[in-house]
Amino acid sequence: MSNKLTYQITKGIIKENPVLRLVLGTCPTLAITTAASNAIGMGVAATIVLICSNAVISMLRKFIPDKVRIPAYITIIAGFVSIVQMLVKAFAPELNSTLGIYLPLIVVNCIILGRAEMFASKNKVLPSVLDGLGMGIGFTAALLCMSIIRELFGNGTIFSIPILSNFIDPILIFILPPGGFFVFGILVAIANKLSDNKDNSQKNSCAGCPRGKSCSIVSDKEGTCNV
Amino acid sequence: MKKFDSTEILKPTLTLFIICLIVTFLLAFTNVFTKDAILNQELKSQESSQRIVLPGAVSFLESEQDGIKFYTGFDKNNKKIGYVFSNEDKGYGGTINVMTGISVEGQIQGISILSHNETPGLGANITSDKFTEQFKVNAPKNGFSITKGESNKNSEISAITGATISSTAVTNAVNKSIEQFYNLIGKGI
Amino acid sequence: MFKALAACFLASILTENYILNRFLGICPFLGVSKKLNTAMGMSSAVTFVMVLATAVTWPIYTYLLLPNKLEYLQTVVFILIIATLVQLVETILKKYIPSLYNSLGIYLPLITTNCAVLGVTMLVIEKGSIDPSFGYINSLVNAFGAGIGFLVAMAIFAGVRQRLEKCNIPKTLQGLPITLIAASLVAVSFLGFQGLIDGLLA
Repeated sequence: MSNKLTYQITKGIIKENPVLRLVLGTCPTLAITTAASNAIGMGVAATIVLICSNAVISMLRKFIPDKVRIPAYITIIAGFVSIVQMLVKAFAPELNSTLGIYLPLIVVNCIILGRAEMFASKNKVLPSVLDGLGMGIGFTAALLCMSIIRELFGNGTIFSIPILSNFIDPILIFILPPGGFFVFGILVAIANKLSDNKDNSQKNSCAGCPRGKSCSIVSDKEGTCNV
Repeated sequence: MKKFDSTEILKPTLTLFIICLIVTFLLAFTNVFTKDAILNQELKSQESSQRIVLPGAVSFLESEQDGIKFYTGFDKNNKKIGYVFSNEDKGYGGTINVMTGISVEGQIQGISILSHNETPGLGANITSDKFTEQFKVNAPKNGFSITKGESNKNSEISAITGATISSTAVTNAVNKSIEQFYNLIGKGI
Repeated sequence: MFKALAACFLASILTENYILNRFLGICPFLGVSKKLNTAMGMSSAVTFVMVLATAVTWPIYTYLLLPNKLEYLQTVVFILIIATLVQLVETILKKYIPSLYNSLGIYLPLITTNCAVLGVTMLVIEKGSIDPSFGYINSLVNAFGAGIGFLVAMAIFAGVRQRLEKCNIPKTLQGLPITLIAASLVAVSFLGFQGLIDGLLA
């Protein structure tokens, strides 16, 4: 039993990493990873929202009628995001100014709605909380990994501590938008290379996405498969 | 036509309504709890940039003259020591907001870039001390001019390499503040 | 006035491009850009919802939330309005204009949780709070420009991806990685637009 619970945490970090394996939450991953400190702030904020919303949705899973499931989840998630937003504004104003619009946009981060729909609505409270924790850690780890690469090459620092800037000129493009796409692409390629069964990740990607169902309607019509 | 089933419509509506109600209630509660802290932080960040551009001032008074908003800074003996102006100009990536502090004698005490959207690593260097320190001289009556090489006059600002547009925008914003300052002094305030 | 609106429109397409500069709406950008016609359908639907959502959320924020000091409800209210609006449009289209529903409607459920739509409604409010002259008309123009910018990026990228299909790509990079690297190169081209707008209208 305890093994199973540990699995709920660890699966999110490597095997089902939300960013690199399930390819969810790409927008904040690309946007705020210009500095390692931003990644920590974003990761922690999203993790708190993820744990709380998973817990509440799991608690209410028997009361919420199927028809209004999605609006109910969105309201709960938006509530927690607003609370986190107010706390950040009050106690960490610098984080608020660096994350800017991406802080309220945690609402539409597919990781959170995806976990609510795929996991919390079908499982008991404790596994749901652990699932949220694991996914949150996985999200933070991926953000951190990406931001360290981008900050190191693009600015010559890590956590604002000079590392490379004394030896070489920083390669600016890494902290500009194109660098975000490029580093993310390389990281996904590495994650694919390291994992044994590549096809499995493609399936996971659609199953983990809250829009998977409508997406497949589109792809049926046009005969394309998404991502 | 399907028969009207009241529970089928009522139950989801009610559940959603209750969830919205609880969420709103929770938010209102958090708001009461954090409202003062947020306001405090905003005031603090505004005051701290005012203190950076006008060191020595401990209190600021907001006033308006001819539609220009400015702050008068007082030291701890409640003596007027200078003025703080905020102006903006178009940079490379958008509007750049610059706060300028000028002492009553016409000496620029400091400038602070409040907000900008310039290219990181190039235009964003306008926030570096090396660039902003150049402005800490006697405010030239005709404003600062920008040069691409080394500046050899006090009224010349040496532009950041590869970021002439951003440097010019900051200089223009400071020049607007200088003009407002001399207008104000001219009126004997 | 007209010049300011034109500058605002062009800026939101080129320099403030939602996909390539602000990273909003990446999911559909990567997901629905394999073919030009799906890309166009998706981005038309996004543009439509963006303008509609801004048209509704702006007055609600300015005349309902702001005077009553309820700004902290912004996130909750906006996302619910967008979700309801999308649902409403879908139902109306399905019932009354089935032909339009077939070309646009199927994308609508995908848009509810699209961060570009929520992003544009929040960003215009933020712009308005910094610069009071940025009113309702500016906000609508900005939203429309953001949608067109989305469309331009999608269309260009769909073209790039069609070329990519015929290329021989190393196994590790196949699929998502090469798509992201291609997106990176498209983003480089959009970097070149910075500083252009003021030059054009000066």
